[in-house]
Order: sequence, then structure tokens, then C-alpha cells
Amino acid sequence: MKIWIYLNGVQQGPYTLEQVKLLPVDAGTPVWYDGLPQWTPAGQTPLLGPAFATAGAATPGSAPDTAAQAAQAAAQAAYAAQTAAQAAQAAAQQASAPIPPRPSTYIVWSIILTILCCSPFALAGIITGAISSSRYNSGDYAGAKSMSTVTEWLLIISIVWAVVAAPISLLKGCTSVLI
Amino acid sequence: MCSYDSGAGGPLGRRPHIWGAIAAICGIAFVIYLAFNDPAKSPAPRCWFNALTGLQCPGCGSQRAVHAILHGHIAEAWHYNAALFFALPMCAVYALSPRRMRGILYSPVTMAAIAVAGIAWFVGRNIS
Repeated sequence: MKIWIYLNGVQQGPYTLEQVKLLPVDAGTPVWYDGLPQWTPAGQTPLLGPAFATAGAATPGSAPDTAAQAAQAAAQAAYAAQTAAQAAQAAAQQASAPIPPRPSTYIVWSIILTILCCSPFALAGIITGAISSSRYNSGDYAGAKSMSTVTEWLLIISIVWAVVAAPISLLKGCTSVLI
Repeated sequence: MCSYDSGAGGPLGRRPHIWGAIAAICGIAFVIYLAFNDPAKSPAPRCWFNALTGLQCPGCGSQRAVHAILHGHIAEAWHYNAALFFALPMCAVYALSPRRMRGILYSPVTMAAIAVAGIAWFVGRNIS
């Protein structure tokens, strides 16, 4: 099961269920995995919801006497320490989480096709390549990849269109040669 | 050419070396053709964009410029397409650069600069 989460303003993933449990995910963190129609708060998903439900039930209720209150305070302190340890572990886990390779920006293809294929499509490919690079550097790996694919299709369109459209200039009886 | 970051799952990304080799062979064959045939006089692909719109695309003039360069007429080539003089060295830099340079070459700032330069060239050559 691959799970994506939206944490600290950045889309992250894919993670396994075990990895997500180690991350500082709370019931309100948006998550998505295959099978969910859209990004959903973690507490409302069938996969992660039960974990939050049991955590809530496990917190001790109010106790009448001071001894119980002391015990409760001690339990809360222990719980806080445990949470801190979990957060540290999660941070370590996050730091060591594999970063996907930078998707191709096709910059050389774009430059060559812009110059030699007469193609404004390839010029657009330089722009989408730059957007892909920018998204990758800001941690949006999925967005970088999709923009890389857009670049790729722009280049394919520019090659195919140049081949298909070459006769247009002949049909229009263009006497001056302008490539 | 794209071996640094061929992780993409798209049609070009799956076999970058094969596509690169095909493109290089076609490119070299075309350059050899241009060396012996003046594109201003002999059959050569014409710019569809110019034929349709009457505007000069960023690549207009590059065939005649390559022909001129191969015959030693550098000033004439500059007149046909000045962007070629920047684009070809830049492609060589990208293709030959050592790995540690690539963080700079593929950074958003560098690529945005190339895009802005390309658009400026496209617009500038049509209004001047």
C-alpha cells in the first residue's frame, strides 16, 4: 500500500502504512492512497482512522481523588515523553526517506528542437522543464514528474508537427526560404 | 544526452540513449546535407510557422546559418540566426558537463533564464 500525505505544506510519499505511523501525522492531516476518491483527513480514512480512534480511547479519563490525579499526571508525562521520542524517530525517518531521482527536464532536446525544428512547442518545453525543476527543488516530486511528462509530449508534438507541417510551406508557394 | 535524469516514465524517458542516438544520426546526416546544398537554393525543409504566420520563429535562419558556418562565413551566419551561436555551445555544455556541475545547470534559475532568453529572442527578432 502506497500512501501520500500532505505535511508542512509539502506533498510527501509514497510511504508504507508503518512509515506513516512513525511520521507526525494527526487525525486532520490530509492523506491519499489508491482507493480513496480524494485527499482525506487521516482520521476519516478506513486505513488510518482506527489508529487515531484507539489512541483517543486510551487516554485516561478524569479521576476523583488526588492519588489518581497524580497517577494521571505521571501517565501524561510518560505519554509526552513517548510522543517526543516518536517525533524524533519520525524526523529521523523523514530525513532518511528516499528522495526520487530528478525527472528529466529535457532541456537539451528543447533547445535543439527550438532552434532546428522551427517549433514554438519546444520553446514551451523549455518553460515546462523549468517549472518541473522548480517543483522538484521545492519538494513537489509528483508535480515535477507530471510537468516533465508534459515537456516530453510538447517535444513529441513539435517533432511530429514539424514533419506533418513541412509541406504547408510548399503548398502556400512560399518562395523565400526561411528556416 | 539525457543520461543524468532519465528517470521519467514517458516515451522519451524509457530509452533516452536510443532516442538520443537516432536524433544525433539524423542531425549529423542533415548537417552533411546542408554542407553541400545551399538551403536558399536547394530543397530543404521550410519553416511551417513562418509560412503560416509570416513571423520568424526562434529557429528561422538556422539552416542557412549552418550552411554559412560550414563555408566559413561566420558574419553571414550570425545575420541569419544569432541564437544558434549561443544554443549550440550551451547544448555542448549540458552534454559534456561533469556531474557536480549539474545542480547548477538544471536549477530552476538557470532554466528560467534560458526560457526568458528564448522568448526575448522570439519576440525581439519579430519587432525589430
